[in-house]
Amino acid sequence: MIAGKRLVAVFAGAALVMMGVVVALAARGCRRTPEAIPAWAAALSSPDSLNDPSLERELRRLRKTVSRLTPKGTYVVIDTHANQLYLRTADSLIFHAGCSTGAGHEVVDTLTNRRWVFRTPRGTFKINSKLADPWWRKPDWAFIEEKESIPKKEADRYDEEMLGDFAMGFGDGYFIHGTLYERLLGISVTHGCVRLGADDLKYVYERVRIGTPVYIF
Amino acid sequence: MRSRWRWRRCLVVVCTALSALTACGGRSRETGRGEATIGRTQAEAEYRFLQSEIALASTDSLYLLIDFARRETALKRRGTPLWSCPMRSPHGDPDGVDFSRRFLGEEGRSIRVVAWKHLYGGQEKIPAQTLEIVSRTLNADPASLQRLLPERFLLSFGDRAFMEVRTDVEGSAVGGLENQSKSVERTVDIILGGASLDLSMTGEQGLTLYEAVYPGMPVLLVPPPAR
Repeated sequence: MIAGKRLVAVFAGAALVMMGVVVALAARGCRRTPEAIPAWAAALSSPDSLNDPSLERELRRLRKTVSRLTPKGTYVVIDTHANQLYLRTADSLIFHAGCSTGAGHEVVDTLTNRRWVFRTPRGTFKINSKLADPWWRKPDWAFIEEKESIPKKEADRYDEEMLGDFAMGFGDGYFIHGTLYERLLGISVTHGCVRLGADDLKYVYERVRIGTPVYIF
Repeated sequence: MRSRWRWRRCLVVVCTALSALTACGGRSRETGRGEATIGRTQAEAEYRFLQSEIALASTDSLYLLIDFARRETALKRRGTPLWSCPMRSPHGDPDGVDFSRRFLGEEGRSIRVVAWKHLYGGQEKIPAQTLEIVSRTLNADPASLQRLLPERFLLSFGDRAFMEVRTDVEGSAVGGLENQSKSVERTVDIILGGASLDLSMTGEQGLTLYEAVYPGMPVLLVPPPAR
């Protein structure tokens, strides 16, 4: 009788040991080494996430939406605070240069009471024109600021040197262009346009296209 | 006697095997659940962040991104990075764990707004002589043309969450008595459970960040990855 009990106990013990070994092996097979898996990959391959495919699907959709927000190619950024122009992509900075942006001062025509405030506009724009050897058609404020009379003849308004070798328009009469006063680069002295040094201007001109986004802040 | 001894040995072996297996199985279940929780939490954090980013990108406003995953602060508009600066935290909470916890709060909100900014001191960027000539030519106020490279400034995101920026510039104090009152306010808030992210950057980087940030500006946080 006693021998029978012993035999049952030994078999039961052996069965438990076998079960334990099987469970342990299975657990080892399923376990991953956390260090080997990147955090986000681990997140998406963890059992809870796999049990919730809607979250995973939604994450994929949102990631795609966010990636579409950034321009695909090169874009221009103008920092009016530090007077810097950047040429960059979403992931890398290609080039940067000191520039000059709007001084923010005001000119008033006391005769007609017209008023101009010279600020570089902030927001999102696009390059809409590219000009080589541009001429500047001086607007009325340029003569008023210089305390000169506004010319009667149209031909007297043109200045072929002021804008440098190239000009890139970004709307509403604003341009990225060259300057005769390179030593003032880095200071906010313009009437709203963005001035660059000759070499930097050439570099940027050669790399932007019509439609290149311009972000100004 | 001999058989009883064998029986006892058998029992000891079985018990040892069982306890070892229980411990092993328990640990494996625990690890599995832990990974899943981190995974789930991170997936949810990313989900919240992406939704916030899309919401901000649908407006035309400039927003500040404090990104612990990429270790940078950035200015973005419409989802596009315009300016960024690597995150260098000389002291305090370099991993941003306390700051992130404070910023996100119990409700885990990844967007806040700048409550206020305060400049402690700075250095004039444009030499006075140049400024005088330019201002005379333009008939403009020299002060409006001058730029101040910040030496140190403080941003508050409300709810006792702060960002303090120190630059490599040595300037003179500009804040007057407010410098002391803001320092005291920050210190008291931190003692009362607040958190501050202390960053260092160059004077030019500080100039851009300080001037671009305004009260009411949206701020988006990407918390440090869970470990």
